[in-house]
Amino acid sequence: MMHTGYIGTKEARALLTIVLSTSVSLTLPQDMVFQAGTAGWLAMIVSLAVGLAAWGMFSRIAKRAPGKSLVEVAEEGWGAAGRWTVGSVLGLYFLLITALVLRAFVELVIGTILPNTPAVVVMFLFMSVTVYMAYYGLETLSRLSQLIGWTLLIGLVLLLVMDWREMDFAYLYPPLGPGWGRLVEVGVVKASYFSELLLLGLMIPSIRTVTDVGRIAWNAVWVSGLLMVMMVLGYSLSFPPPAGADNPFPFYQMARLVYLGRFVQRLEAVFDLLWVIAAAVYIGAGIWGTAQSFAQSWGLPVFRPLVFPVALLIYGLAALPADYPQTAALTNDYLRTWGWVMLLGLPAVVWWGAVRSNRRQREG
Amino acid sequence: MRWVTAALCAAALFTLTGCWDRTELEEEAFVPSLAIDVGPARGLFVYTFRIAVPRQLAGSPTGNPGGSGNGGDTEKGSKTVSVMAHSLGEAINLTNSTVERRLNFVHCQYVLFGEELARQGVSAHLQDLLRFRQFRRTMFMAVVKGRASDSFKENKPVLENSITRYIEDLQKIRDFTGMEPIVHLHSFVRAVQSEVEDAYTSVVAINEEVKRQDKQKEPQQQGSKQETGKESETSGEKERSQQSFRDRTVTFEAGRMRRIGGNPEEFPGAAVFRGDRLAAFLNGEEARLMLALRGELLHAFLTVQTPQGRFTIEAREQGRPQIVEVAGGDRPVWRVRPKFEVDVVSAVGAFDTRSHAGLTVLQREAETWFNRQAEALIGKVQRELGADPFRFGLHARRRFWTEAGWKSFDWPRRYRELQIQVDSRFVVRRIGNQLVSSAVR
Repeated sequence: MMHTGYIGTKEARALLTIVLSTSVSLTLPQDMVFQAGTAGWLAMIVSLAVGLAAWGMFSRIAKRAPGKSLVEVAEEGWGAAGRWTVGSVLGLYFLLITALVLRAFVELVIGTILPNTPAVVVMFLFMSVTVYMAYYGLETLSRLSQLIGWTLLIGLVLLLVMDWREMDFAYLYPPLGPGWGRLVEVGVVKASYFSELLLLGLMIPSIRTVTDVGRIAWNAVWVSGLLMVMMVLGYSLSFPPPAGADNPFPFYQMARLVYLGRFVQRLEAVFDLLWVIAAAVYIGAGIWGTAQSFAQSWGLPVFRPLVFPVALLIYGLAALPADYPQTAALTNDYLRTWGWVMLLGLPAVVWWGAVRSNRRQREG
Repeated sequence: MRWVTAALCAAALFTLTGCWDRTELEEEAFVPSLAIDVGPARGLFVYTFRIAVPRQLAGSPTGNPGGSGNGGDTEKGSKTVSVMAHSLGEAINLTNSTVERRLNFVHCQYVLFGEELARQGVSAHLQDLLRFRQFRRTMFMAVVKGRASDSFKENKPVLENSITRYIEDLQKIRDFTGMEPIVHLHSFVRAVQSEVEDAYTSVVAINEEVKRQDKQKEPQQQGSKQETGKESETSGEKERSQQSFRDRTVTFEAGRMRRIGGNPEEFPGAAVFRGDRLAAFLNGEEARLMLALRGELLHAFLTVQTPQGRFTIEAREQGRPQIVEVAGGDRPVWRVRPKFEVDVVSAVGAFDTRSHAGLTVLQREAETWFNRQAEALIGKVQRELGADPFRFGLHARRRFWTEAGWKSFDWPRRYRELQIQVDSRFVVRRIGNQLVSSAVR
């Protein structure tokens, strides 16, 4: 695999944080309130703990095989079959998740801002930007992320502050919602929202300071996890269950709820801009991740020739769900329910392979 | 590649400058407020749209665009159309068959429900409003005594020309008097959907007496203006004045206030719901007490009558009231403790406002008066209506860790059995511009 450029620690962290936390502007808050009622935010804390466990595995892998991607480490542990399998599974996962997120964003745009514009047009415009970013690779994506990271963070916090008047802590009771058992179950399952951490496994060879990989993942998981918890909490306070479970566009509705008097209201256009930018970075990173996984899996020296075919595949897959409820169901019931298996399972298999390989080397 | 990029950018200029969703202001008919009433048969409703006419609003001789002028001219700046339909969507289609521009609700700020419709249940209409993307959850809501469409016809604001400004002014009034508890659609729906609180909203009513006075006044004014060039008090007006004030009671009930002049429409009081149905109207004083028990009374003038005379205090509530359980078991008793900081703005009678001891007496009087009134209101709303607009249910839920525990508690039954006492605390901070209440001779 040819290295086409390196990225710094800050840039990598910004990109990973944006990719991980983009789901707060999609169905995450509604999904958590639907699954765990008033305790949605507590379940999110459990998810964050699971995300940190995944971080532990990543940092161990990075220590055992410094500067190598997840696919390369899999090759060391399990041979060419391991490389092919891990690369393909990763590629397929990113393909599916990017297609569903793309479709969800397109539906969000059509359902709220551009109701008369055909989905294919919105999708095409979205893809043209994101393919461009993905084609120019990780450097472009991560520098853009570094540039907009603070804006997105401030925007999100500002939204929560501006909705403060509509929030009421009385709606957080009973605090454990469906009970401890269900809360932990939901927390573990919904750790799937951290499954994009797998992207780091592909980014490792491009990170300039190899020893920073663990720190990058740690910071990205913490920051995005806190944002997710804050967003679910803020949403539960302003849209408590059962109302909160019925809202297809939670972030947009929160933005529309901003009313600070006659002059400060109708600010959703500002927040729309933020989530469109975050989505563009996410889709761009998704296309890059898919192309990179397949390229590494098939032993191609560069990923670029795969960008356009992958984009076409994503475009086609995104067009498959019949409607928004089907898109949301596929995302929430499958991808964000079983994604934790990918998050914990794939690194575990790769790590096991690396341990085996090390043992073999010592014995041999 | 550079040329391709440049060509793409150039092409984007042609494709991205317009889109499928472009709208021209000249093609839109903005609806700032909407009223819904029952129709002549089940499942039929009368939808009344107030359509803004921006040019007339801007060009009216008394007004400035969107601002305040001499008042009473909202009719000039808007036109109303009523249609009978099964649903809001159908009503929009029907209305747009007679209005040449496309109805647009992105600026809709006020939704009025007729009394009969509210008693039958507003759930279906709330669903219409929540689902359609043009409506915002920050719209204000009110129930109109009688038919909601009458509110559009009879509303003649004293100062405002702009209907949208008028609507937002009402919210400021809530913060000033506490008697018009206007709420956003979002808060209303949140309470309707919840099993632990009941919704409320403000009330609008037409004062028939004032409306009649206005109708009588118009021809007289015309005649008077023709003769003298200015308004003058006629013998007819004096007669009306005597009629209006013949009744010796003061009422805070919307539609029955004793007054002459002003807007025929008045808005003291609250409409309390059980589920999605209107349960009862509260008058302005009761609405204010309700807000106080919720911890939302920002500011109010309270007048207390005592054997020593009467005094008025300017009260500001300090946070949400503390609620303590003073007895449990089969006969639970709760004590609600709202807290106010007050300024004395008037004290007519034998009151000692010079000493702290004297002010303490004043405080006790105010507290006794408030507690009696608030307990009477709770008795009425809790026992007679079975409604909980005071958020006691939300308080009760705090004692449970899980949803299952709370469900098994059977709050609706326990709420009816609950005895609630009010133990308010008024703290006088300032006494106005006089130390003593000596008579002015």
